[in-house]
Amino acid sequence: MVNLFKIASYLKISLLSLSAGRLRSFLSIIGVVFGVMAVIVIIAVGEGAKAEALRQIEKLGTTNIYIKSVELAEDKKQHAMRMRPPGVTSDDLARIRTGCPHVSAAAAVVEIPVSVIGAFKEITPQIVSCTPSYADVIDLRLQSGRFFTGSDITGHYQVCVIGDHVYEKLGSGGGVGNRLRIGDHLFKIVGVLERYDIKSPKTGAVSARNYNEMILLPEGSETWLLPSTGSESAGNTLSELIIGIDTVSHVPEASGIIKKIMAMNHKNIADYQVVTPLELLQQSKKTNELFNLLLFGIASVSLLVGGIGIMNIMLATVSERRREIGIRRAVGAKQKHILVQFLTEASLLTFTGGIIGIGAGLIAVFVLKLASPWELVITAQAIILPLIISSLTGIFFGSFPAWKAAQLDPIQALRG
Amino acid sequence: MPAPLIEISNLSKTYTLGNESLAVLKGVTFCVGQGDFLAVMGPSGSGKSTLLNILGCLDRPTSGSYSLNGVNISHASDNGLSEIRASVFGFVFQSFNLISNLNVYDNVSMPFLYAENSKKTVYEKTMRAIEDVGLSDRIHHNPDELSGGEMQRVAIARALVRHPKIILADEPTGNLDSGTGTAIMKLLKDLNNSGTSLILVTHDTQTASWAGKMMTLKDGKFV
Ligand SMILES: Nc1ncnc2c1ncn2[C@@H]1O[C@H](COP(=O)(O)OP(=O)(O)OP(=O)(O)O)[C@@H](O)[C@H]1O
Ligand SMILES: [Mg+2]
Repeated sequence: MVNLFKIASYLKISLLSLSAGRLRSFLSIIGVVFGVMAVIVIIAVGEGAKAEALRQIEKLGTTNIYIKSVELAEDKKQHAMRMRPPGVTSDDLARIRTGCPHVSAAAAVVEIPVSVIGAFKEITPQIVSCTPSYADVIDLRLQSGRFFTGSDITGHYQVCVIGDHVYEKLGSGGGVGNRLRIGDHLFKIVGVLERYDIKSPKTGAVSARNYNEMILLPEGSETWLLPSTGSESAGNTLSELIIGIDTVSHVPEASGIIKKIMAMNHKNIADYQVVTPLELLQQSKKTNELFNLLLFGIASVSLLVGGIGIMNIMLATVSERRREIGIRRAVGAKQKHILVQFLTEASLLTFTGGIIGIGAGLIAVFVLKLASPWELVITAQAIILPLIISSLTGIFFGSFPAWKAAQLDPIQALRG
Repeated sequence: MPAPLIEISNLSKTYTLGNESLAVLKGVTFCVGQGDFLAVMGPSGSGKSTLLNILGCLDRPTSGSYSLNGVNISHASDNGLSEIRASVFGFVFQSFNLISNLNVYDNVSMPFLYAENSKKTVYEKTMRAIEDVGLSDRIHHNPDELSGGEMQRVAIARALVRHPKIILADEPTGNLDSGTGTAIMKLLKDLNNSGTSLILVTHDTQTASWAGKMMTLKDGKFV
C-alpha cells in the first residue's frame, strides 16, 4: 500500500538534510543541471528544424511531384540546344499526361526576368506566369480578389495576382483594381495572396517559393513580355512543372513513371530535376532518427557525468551520517527503510537539478530565439523526458551509496 | 508461571580481530520480568554496553540463547530483529543520539516512520510523549538549542513514544551534572512505576541505587 503520509515523511527528511548542506547540494547537481539544459536546447533546435522542414515540405504538397528546369554547364548546353529547347517544356507535360496514370492536376510556372516599376526597395518581386491550376495544386489562398481563370489566358488579359509583401509595399496603389507596370505593360491587379509564414529563405530543393514577394501573371504572358522566347516546335521552356497525383499512396509509383518519361524525352540530358516532397518527407524522418541518436548520446554522457557527481556526494553523505543511520536502525528501521531514505534523497537531488535545468534550458531557448534566425520549438516531451530521466539518474547513481548505508551494521553506525 | 520477558542463558560474545579473539561475555544467565528495574554495573570495558546491545537486538550473541516472551530469537533475521526493536524496545544513550537537523517533534516522532500508524495517532502520541518529559514548549527547537538535560529528555520521549515493553538505558546520566542526572532518573523511575521494564547500565552506585535489582559484570560474568 502506498502511504502518502510516509512518502511525505521521507520527502521531508530528505529536504531537511539536503537544505542542511545547501551549498554542497547545489554544487552536486550542477552536472545534472547542465545536462538537462543541453538536452532541452538541442531538442528545441532539432524540433524547430524538423517543424520548418515539415512545413516547407507540406507547403510543397505531399501529393505533388515537381519537375524543375536546371541550367546546364556551357559545353553541355551547346550539344543539347541542337536537339531541343533546354529544360522542362510543355511537351514534357503532354507526355506525362498521356503516359502516367493517377495524375489529377498539373500546373506550369515560368519565371520571367523583367523588372517591375514601383517603389520596391527591400524586396525584388519575382515575376512568374502560371496556369490557373497553380492555385489549386499548391493551395494558394487569396485575401482579396480572385485567381486567374481560363478566360484570362484565352483572352490574353493583362491581369496579375500579387503576394502580400508586394501588396504592402505598393501601399494605396496595391489594392485589387489598381494597375501595376511590368516591363512595358500595365497589368491590372485582380487578386492579393494571403500572407505566408516563411521562416528561412531558400534551403535547396526543399524550399517552397516565397509567395509573399511574388507577382503572378497568366500563362503565356511571357511570350509578349519577352518576345524573344519560345520556339513552338517542341514547346516552350518552363521553369517548373507541378504534377498533382490523386492520392498519396500513388505518389511513389507515379514518381517512378515520371522519372522514366522525363529521361526518355530528354535523352538522358540532365537539364531537369524531379523533386518529390513525399520522398523528402521520408528522408527528413531518417535524418531525425540520426539526430535523435546524437541527442541520446549527448544526454547519456552529460547525465553520466552528472550522475557520478551525485554518487560521489551521496557516498560522502552516507559516511557523515552513520550515526543517524544507527539511530534509525535502533528505533526499528529495516535495511530497506534506510535504502529508501537515501534513494529518495538522491532522486530529489537530481529531480531538483532537472527542474533547474529545465528552467535554464527554457531561458536559453528564449534567448536563442531572440538572437538567432532559427526556429526553436519546445514540446511537452522535451520537458517531461529530462525530468523523468534526471530522477532515474538519481535512483540509479544513488543506489550504490544507499545500499552501502543499508548494509551498515547498527552498532558500528551508532559509534559514528 | 508465565515465561519471563527476557530469558538469557549461557550467553557469550567474542570479538575476533584478525587472528586475535576477545571474549567479552563468557556465559551470562539471567531473567528480566515485566516491570523489573535492573541496573547493570561493572568496570569500564567489562562488557556492559555489549550486553545491552545484544538485549536490544542491535547485536547478536556468539553463543547461548536469548528468549523474548518465551520465543528464542537468537537466530532471527535482520528484518526480524528490526521489528522487535521497533515494537519491544526503547533506547536511551549516554550521548543522547538525537538527529541534529530534526526538531524536537520530528526526533520524537521518528520511530513511527517504521511502523503503521495514522497521521493523527502519530501526532497525538508524539505530543503526549513530549508532554510527559516536560518539553511541550520546545517542540520546534533543534537539538543544538537545548541543554544536555533537555536533549536527554527528548531521547527519553523518543524511547517511550511507542510504549515499549522495555527501555534500555546506557549511562543515561553519564554526560549530565548530578542535579540534572537525578531529574532524568526520576523520569525513568516514573516510567518504570507505570509498568515499563527498565535495564540501566551505569558505573555509578548512586545512579544504580534507583534500580530494584543490581548486577555487576566482571570478567565476562555476573558476580
Ligand atoms: N566491535 C568491537 N570489536 C572489537 N572489540 C570490541 C567491539 N566492541 C566492544 N569491544 C570490546 O569489548 C569490550 C567491552 O566493551 P563495552 O563497550 O561493552 O564495555 P563497557 O562495559 O560498556 O565499558 P564502558 O563502561 O567504558 O562503556 C571492550 O574491551 C571493547 O574494546
Ligand atoms: Mg559502555
